[in-house]
Amino acid sequence: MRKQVAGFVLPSDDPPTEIELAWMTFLRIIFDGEVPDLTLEHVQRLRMALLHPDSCTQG
Amino acid sequence: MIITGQTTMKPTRPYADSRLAKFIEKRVLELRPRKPQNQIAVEAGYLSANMISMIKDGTSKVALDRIPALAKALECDARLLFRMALNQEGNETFATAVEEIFGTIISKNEAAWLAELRNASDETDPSLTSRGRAALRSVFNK
Repeated sequence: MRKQVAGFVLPSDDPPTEIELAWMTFLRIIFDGEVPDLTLEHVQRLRMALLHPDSCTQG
Repeated sequence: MIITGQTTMKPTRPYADSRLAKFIEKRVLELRPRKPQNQIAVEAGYLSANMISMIKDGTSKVALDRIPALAKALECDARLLFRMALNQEGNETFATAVEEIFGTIISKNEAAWLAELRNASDETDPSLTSRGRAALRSVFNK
């Protein structure tokens, strides 16, 4: 079950969950505090990391 | 504040190392080909164009109520700018209060990434595992 926490809300007025905030915090670390515009390439890479994490880290 | 013997000296550039000062310096440089710094100052509502220079070099901090106009002038996300402004020295207690009441401030870009995370995971709220972290770092070459 998604446990949502208070926060400045997403455009859909749907607050992030604790886990989503953990993802976001990690994204901030990766991008040194400035998460960039979400491009199509980013979407593809994010999906790859999410759906096939093992294939991303092999080799 | 620097205390030397009997005298107390204030640093001349107390905000020089802030992320906000560096960000504004970067945005002013990026906008320079089509928008000079004095125009940015005017659009942000500053009486003196020199104010932007003082913010960039860390002599002066940005007042929080100036953020909406400054964000428009710099053509950037007001939430991102506000978060950076909250982290300026001297705003610690206010930042804590804002976080306690409203939670983490999420920029527009971050909201878009979270929305995509939901979409890609089919709203399953996937845990951020060490494998996931490694994969994310890998796909973004970080």
